[in-house]
Amino acid sequence: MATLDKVQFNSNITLDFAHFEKKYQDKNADIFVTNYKPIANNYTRSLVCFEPDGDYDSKGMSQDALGYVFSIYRNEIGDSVLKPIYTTSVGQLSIVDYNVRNQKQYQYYVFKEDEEASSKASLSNIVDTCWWDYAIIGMDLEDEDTLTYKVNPKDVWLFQSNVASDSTTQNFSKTTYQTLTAYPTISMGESNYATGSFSGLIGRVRKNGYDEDVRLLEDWNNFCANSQLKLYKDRKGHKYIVDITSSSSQVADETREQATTVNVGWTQIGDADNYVIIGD
Amino acid sequence: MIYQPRSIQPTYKSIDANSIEEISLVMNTSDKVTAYRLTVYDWENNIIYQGDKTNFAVDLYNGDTGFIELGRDIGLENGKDYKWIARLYQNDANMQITYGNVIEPTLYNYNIPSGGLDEDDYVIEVGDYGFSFNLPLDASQGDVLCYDSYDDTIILRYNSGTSESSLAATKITLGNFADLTMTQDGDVYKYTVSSDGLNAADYHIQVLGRDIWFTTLSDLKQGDYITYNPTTKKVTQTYNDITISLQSINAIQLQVTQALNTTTNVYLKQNINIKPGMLLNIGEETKEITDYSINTGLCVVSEAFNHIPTHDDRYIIYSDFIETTPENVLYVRETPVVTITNYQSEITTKEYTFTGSYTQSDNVPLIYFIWNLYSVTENGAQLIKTSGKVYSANIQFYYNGFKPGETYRVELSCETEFGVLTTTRALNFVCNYTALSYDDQPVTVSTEDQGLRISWATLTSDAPYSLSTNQATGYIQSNNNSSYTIWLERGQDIFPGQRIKVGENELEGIIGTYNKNNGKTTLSMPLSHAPENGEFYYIITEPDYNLTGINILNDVPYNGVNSAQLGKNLLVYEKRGGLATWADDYQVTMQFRPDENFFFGDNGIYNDMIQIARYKSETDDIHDLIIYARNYNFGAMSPTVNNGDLVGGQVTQLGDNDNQLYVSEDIDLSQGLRYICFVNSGYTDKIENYDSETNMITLSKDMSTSVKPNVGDYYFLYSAVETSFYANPNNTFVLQATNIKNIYADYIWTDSSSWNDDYYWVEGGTQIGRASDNWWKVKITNDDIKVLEGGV
Repeated sequence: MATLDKVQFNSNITLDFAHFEKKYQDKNADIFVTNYKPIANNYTRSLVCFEPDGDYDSKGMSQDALGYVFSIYRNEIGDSVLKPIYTTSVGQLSIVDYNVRNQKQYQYYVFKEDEEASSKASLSNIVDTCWWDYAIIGMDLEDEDTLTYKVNPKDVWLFQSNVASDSTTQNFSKTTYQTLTAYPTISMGESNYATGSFSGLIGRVRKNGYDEDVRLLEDWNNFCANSQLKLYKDRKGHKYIVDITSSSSQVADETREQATTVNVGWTQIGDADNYVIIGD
Repeated sequence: MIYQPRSIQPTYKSIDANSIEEISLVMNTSDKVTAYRLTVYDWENNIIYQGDKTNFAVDLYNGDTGFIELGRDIGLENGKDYKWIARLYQNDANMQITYGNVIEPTLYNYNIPSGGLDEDDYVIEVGDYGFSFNLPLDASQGDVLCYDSYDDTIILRYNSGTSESSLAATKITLGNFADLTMTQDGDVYKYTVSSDGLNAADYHIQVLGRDIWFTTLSDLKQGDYITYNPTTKKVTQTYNDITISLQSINAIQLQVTQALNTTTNVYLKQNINIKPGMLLNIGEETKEITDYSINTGLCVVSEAFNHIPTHDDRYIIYSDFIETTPENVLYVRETPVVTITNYQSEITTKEYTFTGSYTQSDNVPLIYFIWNLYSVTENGAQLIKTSGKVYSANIQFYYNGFKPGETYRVELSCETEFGVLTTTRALNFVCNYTALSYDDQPVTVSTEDQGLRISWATLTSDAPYSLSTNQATGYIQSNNNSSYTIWLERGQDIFPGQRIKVGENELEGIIGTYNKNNGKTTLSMPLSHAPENGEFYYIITEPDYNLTGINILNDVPYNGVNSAQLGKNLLVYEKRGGLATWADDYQVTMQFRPDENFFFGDNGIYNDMIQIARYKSETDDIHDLIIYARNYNFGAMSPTVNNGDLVGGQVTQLGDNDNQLYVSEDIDLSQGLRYICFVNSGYTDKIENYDSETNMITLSKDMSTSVKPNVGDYYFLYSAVETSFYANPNNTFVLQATNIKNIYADYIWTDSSSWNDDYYWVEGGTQIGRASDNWWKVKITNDDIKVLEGGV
């Protein structure tokens, strides 16, 4: 296997960055955007840029990972179960696991594998999840057998400001039948799902103030109306597979920003623990 | 009150006669069920077992499940089917089963004896009448022929009284027939008329146990006779030697017994729910029923009533039990044997195929199997893979993913046609093989979009060094140079081991010795050819990891990013063993700004082609990517490769012009831009044209003598992609009031312009002004390049 052994930049230029990557479908970043700054990713072979802390090193993918697949398992600290998450394709360096709860601790077990053998588990650091936002994450089916879904970052909707959640209703079907004895008989169906709603500003507060593009609401409405399965996560740590059953919006006419609050109704349609939800 | 139980098990599920099995029933009662009695029949309805009344372990209330053990004493055999019923008892006999008025029996019954009754004609004589009928089918012992004098009907009751069929009967007034005595005459029986004669009338004879009634057709005189043939069963009369057959009724008489109520035998309405053991209440008296016939309705009690019950007496049947109905079927089959045939306590591979076997002695087929694979840790067993229900007889299970040093557990379950699920003992095994080496620690970080990013391959990080090109520079001082010995300027800081680059083509060599006094220099690595007097040279210094001379510009070209102004330095990243793996399908992106004097290189000589960056592999010669600026273009080139080999050849002849020569191999310019590189000199130029008939190539510019190859010299080709950073070059000098170049527009001297001594001649629309001092974003792939203005 050929290696990249030397990179040389000639004199009489001022260099911002140089990024040598494996070209992979449409996954490589688009540099022709305003204020582009490169980030090392799964496909990086050599990234040269000049960080403020004095790090001018070339970053490149370790050869240890090439040619192997990696099996990733997740452990929620306190739970004895090791849940299989994903087995990567050759050359993939990282994934994002979205199916985690807020205010929990997680640790990942990674096995390096080829056709003949596997390594012993290598354990990641333990990380605490702590997010402020409520999230609705749209996802697309990748593998029906394992219920693996892929997330495109543009389908992650975070609600940060003025968030208010309504009560969550647990729905189940139980019917009471009067009998000839003192006590009735209860018959039970299989239904057991949650419904709820919340509201929040659709835009985000950034350095320069509140940011809400006028097209954001249209994108949100289209997102609500599409057929994607969605993962709902709240600040408490609940997570449900849901569909959006209603959405309404209200512009705060009295504000300069014309901030839009959306009210979102959702219905649980699955148990999130049965799904694998990942992103690149 | 006890009602029929529900959820009776087993249902459509077999049991093993060699095991202690049990029946379960869910009680329906408004009281409590306290005991049971089990009766088991074979498939021919013979009782093979009747247990005693047995108490349940605890009293069972409504919704409770009761269990009845099927012990070995019942005598069940594998491979056979059975039926069973159960009596369920409560404490008090207060369940009202049925009621009605005592029947005044009008029945005359004939119980079919052992041996049954053949199909034939029969007659029942009651009082003055006889009732003849045809029995169309053989009747069995236990069946009952019943004449009801109420409506003169004859009924055959069979199937233990649960079925009945009416038989058509002919009523005979017995008194209307006179008896005749027949005497045997050979094969027939004969009555010869006496001198008294015999009037035409109805007559009755009895022969060989059969009764025959007939009517003569005329008066008979002495000597006439009547005959009966037992074989043909025909009756004839002979008058004046003329014989005529007579119609007759020919039947076997059955002796019936009249049903009569007594103090112990009471006839009730037939009801399938009346069972021995129940209580018959009439008036103030209640007696236990010892026998009851569903066929006749005859109920026999254990003790006599004080009076003979009559039709005016009302009865009630009470019970402390019910019997389950209908019969439940019991399939008895041996439990199958299920095994994992290739189990090993230790496996040594990452993948493994388990195989199993299923055997059942009664040929009960397998419906499906399930494999379950667990990971076993100190926290217990966790299911990691299941085959699910597989409806096949090929009992196999494949798994790829065993980890070394881990313990696993496997089990196999098979279900038979009768719903019996047999599971093997859970078998633990370990996996041991040489594990892959993996020492990196995966890193998990929280992302802003509520995910956790897990990275399992650490990025390598390699520091750069700079090489100054400005340490010592000058011009060749002599005409007496060779490739090994050259004359440099005196008094410079030049040291052995340093690299020197000479001339516009930057011939490279390594300093062996340098005489500071006279400038004589020997090269440990010679130049590719002798330089000429006056050619520019410069010394490349040792690697400087402090990057001295390189300025870091903060927030340049925009906030949040920094840039490195290289000046008179090369910036190099280099690592033995590789910085990273090469990507055959690559994308290189850059943002950079050529300095004002970029196109004058390190030797101060203008060159229309200047290298910007180079990515190189030391593994071979084909993994080499050069990014450059040339004329109005930015471009990238890499060696042309065919089946993994460099595409090249040899120079066969020099051309008449300095930009032409002949080569040994065909060159295909239709596949894209091609450059030629001569191995000896390293000189590289673009191939503008190739004549396939003569193998002559035409380069973009004339070659100087120093770089021109010789016949036989080797060359190889580069494949290139280029794009212009300025589309409409127009080299124009303009007289204008300021000396500031406007790179974004062409200059035009218009007729309205006028001469002014203060004006400047300014280059407009040149490549230098366009490219230099401006930021550019470049994206290069294997077959494409895109350039846009950067800095934003």
